[in-house]
Amino acid sequence: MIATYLNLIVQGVLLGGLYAIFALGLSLSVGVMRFVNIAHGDFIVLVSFLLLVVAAALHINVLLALLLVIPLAFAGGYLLQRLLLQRVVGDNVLLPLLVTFGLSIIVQNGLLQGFGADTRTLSAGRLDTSSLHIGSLYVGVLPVATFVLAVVLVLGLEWLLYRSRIGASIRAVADDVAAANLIGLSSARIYAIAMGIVGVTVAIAACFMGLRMNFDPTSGPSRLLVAFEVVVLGGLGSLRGTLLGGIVLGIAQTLGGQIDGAWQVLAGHLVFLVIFLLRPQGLLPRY
Amino acid sequence: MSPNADAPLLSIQGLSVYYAQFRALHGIDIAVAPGEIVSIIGANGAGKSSLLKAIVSQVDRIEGRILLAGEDIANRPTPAIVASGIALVPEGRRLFPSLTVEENLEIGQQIGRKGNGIVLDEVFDLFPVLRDKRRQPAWQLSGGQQQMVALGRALLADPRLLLCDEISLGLAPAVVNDLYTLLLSINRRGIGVLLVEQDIRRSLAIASRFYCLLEGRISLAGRPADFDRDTITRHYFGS
Repeated sequence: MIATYLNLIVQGVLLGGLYAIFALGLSLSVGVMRFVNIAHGDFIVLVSFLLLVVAAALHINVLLALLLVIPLAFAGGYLLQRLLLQRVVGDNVLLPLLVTFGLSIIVQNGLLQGFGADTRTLSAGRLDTSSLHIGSLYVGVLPVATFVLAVVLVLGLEWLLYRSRIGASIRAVADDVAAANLIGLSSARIYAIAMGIVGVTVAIAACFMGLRMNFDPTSGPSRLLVAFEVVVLGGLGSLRGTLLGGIVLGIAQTLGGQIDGAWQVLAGHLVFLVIFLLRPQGLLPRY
Repeated sequence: MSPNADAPLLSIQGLSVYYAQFRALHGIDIAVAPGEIVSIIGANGAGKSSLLKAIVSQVDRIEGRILLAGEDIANRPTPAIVASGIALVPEGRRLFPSLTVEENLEIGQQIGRKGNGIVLDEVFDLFPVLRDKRRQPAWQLSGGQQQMVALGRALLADPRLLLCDEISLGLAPAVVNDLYTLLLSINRRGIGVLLVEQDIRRSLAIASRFYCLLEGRISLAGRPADFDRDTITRHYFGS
């Protein structure tokens, strides 16, 4: 009995790692650029399809394809911000919502048009099914690798934001856009770089989501919901909070799924609502 | 137009500044020679801040020319203007509160001229008190110390011309004295200073020339010693 629950909690924590990776990009765009990207989930799905195409076309492992796609994702995020989203950031919080909502519809329908409604999955060969045996626990290599990657990403992004020069510029712009522009620090350029970094996290999320779960052109909104809950649970602007939020949601869903398969998603939402009522600022708030 | 060695450091010709339908400056001419301290005085709303913001391209619309060493920089993007050698110390300091003192200063290096100008250590030599507080968030500093960070940030942009907007505002007189002494030592490095102040006495004491603005026009200009206090006051308030 205890072993069963221990196993479930470990599985939940590992699932939480994946959820944290989903949410890191959203956490950055909410925490830094102060806007909610409604198309965040759709971008993840879009890049999953891109990985599918690149891996198939070049006959390479999807993890290798990810390495090729990461620079593209940075460029994509940079250009998207510079050419489109920069026009709507500012005092009106409704405009970015509407524009990214529109992007969400465009991405979903574009993918439906190009790939049909079939459910897909990515494969990394043997990694998909390998498992580790620790004591009485069986854990998949892929979930463990995903969790380790989530921790590495959180620490790496924290280093980037709080120890590097570009990170200081990003925080400066997040502090006071008008002051940055006034002294000649181009907020448009800094925002674009930040969105490029978001793009990199989206690509990594796309790869590990596709390895772990099925996806189809309309999976984006459910991914967004997970990412959004994780960000709010963890506390806006806190990357460690995002990791913790992912873990809480992962454990809730895994335990809920044990009670009844239909409870998996519902349990996640319920825990989110309860924590949100008790602690609306999130578990590890920065602001 | 190519930069000209004989040209004034800054030459503003027929500058008008508009905010939507409102005209804040009416065709004014201002010049700053290399290494000169020039003071802009005037009452609230006279157009002093609009002038500085126009120089760094942070107003809605301008007419006229703004030449830096003979090169027209009017309407260039702010980052390009700062990178060509004009740094602003904005009114109210406008530090980034969550950044440390050192990070705030390093922002200056990022926005500034690319070359081997002033380094962080020299700024700490100018403002020794900041050296011990370099790892502290900027918001924890006193007003005077924050103003030093704002000055240091602008200095690290390695400017040829420093624009100072009301740097004494809200600070204790002793602190303001220190800041003005520092401003003189900054100026001795060969950096031109355009000083905007409401405090006439102090800014005229260190300026070689001044312009008095009244309702968007220059009401008086010249060397401080050439005018008595009453004349200046009359042109300041326009009575």
